[in-house]
Amino acid sequence: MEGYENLFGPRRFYRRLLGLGIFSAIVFLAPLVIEDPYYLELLFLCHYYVILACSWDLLSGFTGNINFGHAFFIAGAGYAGALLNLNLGWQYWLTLPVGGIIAALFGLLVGVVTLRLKGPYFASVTFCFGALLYKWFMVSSKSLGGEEGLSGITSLSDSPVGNYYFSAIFMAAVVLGLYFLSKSSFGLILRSIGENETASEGSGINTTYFKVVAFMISAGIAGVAGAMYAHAQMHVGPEMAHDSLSALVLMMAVVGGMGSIIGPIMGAYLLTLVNESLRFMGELRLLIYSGAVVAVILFAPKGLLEILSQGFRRATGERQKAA
Amino acid sequence: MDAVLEIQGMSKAFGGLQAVRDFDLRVNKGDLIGIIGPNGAGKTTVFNMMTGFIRPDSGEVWFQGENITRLKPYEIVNRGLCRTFQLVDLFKEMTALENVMIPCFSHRVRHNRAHEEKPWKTAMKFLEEVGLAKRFNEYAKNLAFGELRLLDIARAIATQPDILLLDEPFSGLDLEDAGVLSAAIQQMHRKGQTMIIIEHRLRDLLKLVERVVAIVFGEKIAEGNPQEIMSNPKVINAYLGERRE
Amino acid sequence: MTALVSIFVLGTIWGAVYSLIAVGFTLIFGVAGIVNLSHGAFYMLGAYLAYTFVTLLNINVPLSALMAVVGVALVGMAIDYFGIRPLRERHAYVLILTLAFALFFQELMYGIYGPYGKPVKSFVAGEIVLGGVNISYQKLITLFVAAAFVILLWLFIKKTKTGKSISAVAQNKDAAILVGIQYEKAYRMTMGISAGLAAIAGVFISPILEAVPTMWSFPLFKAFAIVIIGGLGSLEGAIIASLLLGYSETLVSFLISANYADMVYLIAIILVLILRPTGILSKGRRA
Repeated sequence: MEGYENLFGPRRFYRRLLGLGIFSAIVFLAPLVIEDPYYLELLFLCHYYVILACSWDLLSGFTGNINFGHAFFIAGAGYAGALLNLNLGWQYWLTLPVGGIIAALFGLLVGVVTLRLKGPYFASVTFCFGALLYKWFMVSSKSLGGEEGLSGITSLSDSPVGNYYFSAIFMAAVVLGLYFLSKSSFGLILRSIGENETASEGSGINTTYFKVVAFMISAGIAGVAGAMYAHAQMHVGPEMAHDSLSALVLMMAVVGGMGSIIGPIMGAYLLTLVNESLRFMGELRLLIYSGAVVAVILFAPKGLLEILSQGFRRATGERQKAA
Repeated sequence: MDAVLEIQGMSKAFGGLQAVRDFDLRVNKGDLIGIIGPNGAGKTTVFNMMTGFIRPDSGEVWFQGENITRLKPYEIVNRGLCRTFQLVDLFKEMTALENVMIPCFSHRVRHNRAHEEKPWKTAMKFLEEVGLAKRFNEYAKNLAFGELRLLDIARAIATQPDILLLDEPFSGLDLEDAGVLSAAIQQMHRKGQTMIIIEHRLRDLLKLVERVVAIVFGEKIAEGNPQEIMSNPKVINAYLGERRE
Repeated sequence: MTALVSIFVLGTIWGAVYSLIAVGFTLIFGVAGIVNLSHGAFYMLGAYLAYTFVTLLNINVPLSALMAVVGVALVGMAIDYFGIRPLRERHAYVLILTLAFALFFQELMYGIYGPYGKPVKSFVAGEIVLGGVNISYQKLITLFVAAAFVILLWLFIKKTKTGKSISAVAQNKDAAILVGIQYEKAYRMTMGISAGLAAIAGVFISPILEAVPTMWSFPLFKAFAIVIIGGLGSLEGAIIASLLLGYSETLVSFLISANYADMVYLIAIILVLILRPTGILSKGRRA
């Protein structure tokens, strides 16, 4: 049967891989053109949010178990890394992996007890974990700095360019890794769980196992990102655990296109850059985001990625397989 | 001959309604059994309990010498008992081939499959068996209704089941599709596949099966070969009585 | 033992307020099977409308309350009609959509009213002394209003034809359709009622707590805690669980601190869902 040599869907895969390649090239070459540290820091933020949104997407976009507490892992590992750095002098090449492992372990713990719950319950429990961590940070003024948080963390590198490249390499690794993962049998199984968990179970798949593993990977990556952020900002605060961060990451993935890994990349860049450029509008930005999310869900539930894909297909006259 | 599947005294009540009462069944290797009964008789509930989707209030299900009553659905599938769904609801946003690849990632199939063979090759074989090979790259949501039914069956046989349960496979099919399905079922039977089929459309079913079980209001009222069943007064009563409404 | 009296009274008051928010939430969940994350926003809108009508526009209290409640109820029904109705089967999307609505309203409030708390004057000034404890009239009124509305709702559901049809849809949608009940109307009406109830709570709480744009999230998740403890769709369960939560929070607030009281409902949700998931979650797993 010709035309199906590999597990990957033919043309779309190569097209996206090419897109990723071009994107990576732009990312790595950008600092040659951009020297203003303000923009470099802004782009660092973009990289950070891409990692958060993509890691969120692996579980929630693919299996449909919406995680409302991603900040739990981000801030948990961020604070863990901060404490290891401030008290034991560990540098980023230790705190980041360790933060990730701690986050992944929590992902395992939380996942095992919560992933058998149906959608809204899972969402609520994850929210509660995030909210509890936030409140705990706020009240623990002696050990964790309370509202102020912890400062004086060793920096990631000694310049915005250094931070930029560090985060860029991390982002590229995460994006490529997650993209290939999503195209593998693991990704296919996750998607089957999101499509129809009953049919998936009825086909012999231990769905809980796969959901937990996805959750661990999602949490672990978010944890490393959190630790990275802690070093880059040289500070951690309770706002890292706030539900607004979880909601923001969620919105980036949704607007970009859940369940694709590529979509969240676009969503993260878009919302971060729009966030910054609309800074003068103050809190109205969130108004626009939430309005955007409402619009996306109602009119284009598969997000920007689908809109672009359809536009591209129509432009090249390719026979449309999807309605 | 040792039964490959044995159900003893299975019962289930939902609230005040006794859906299934004291159901027994013995299935031998290679059997082709039909389960008939009016709507709401409890047939699908029996399937659900056999396959771990619902827990019976009482009774046991023994499969190949093991008590599988309390196992989870995926564990039961991995032991060789697989079912299709009455309301076919597969993986709409995935291609037909991907749909059939999912069972190929189950524990059972991964262990049995030849090491060299890629999952998609294995999946293609099953698509060919139900005659859907040409549509392998089509998204499930674009398939015709009859094709969806066949796809669900391909998915089920991809788990390489020792017993295959088909839940109303003929419902909603036109004459041509029904013929295709009939032929596919007969083919599988010839190859020795043990099957239990729930069906409402008697004419299609009775041509295929060797033994029939009739269920009314959750109770087995008759069991025998197709001629016996069709001349059984209780069965006639159940169907005629229903039609009078 | 002024402490005990204080705890009892405060706990009852808060329990009553929570029940007002929770019964609407449990109704939506029981009837339409969806978790409406904008439910807390209805509470918030009620509070802000109270501020607008009573403080800014100086309209008398009963009229303000009425307008606020009706307004929010209409908003609720609009959200149901335009937002939720097309997406009823995709639970994940409903979650995200209603969350987005809630955030949207939060930011709308930020935009219109600013980030600082908006005070509303007490509807009736003064306090009485009960068992050695000062209790403001506002809190007492809130208690009575909440109790009255919960009882009214209960009567509505159990005794009136519309109420019973809503209950029928909650129990078995397919059967209800067969009997000729229009379930879409039942959903929409339920949404309107629950939004209205939440708004009432918001209106009467606004003099006690200020109106802030972020005030929608805590009642939402407290309602969620109450609903899962009390049982989905169970009115009686919601009332009992509301009181339980009210008392526990007041107790913790008294024994430790208010900060920790704020964690009670979070821990409750986690514990209940982890330890007793089947008792609460099994809606009859069918293939």
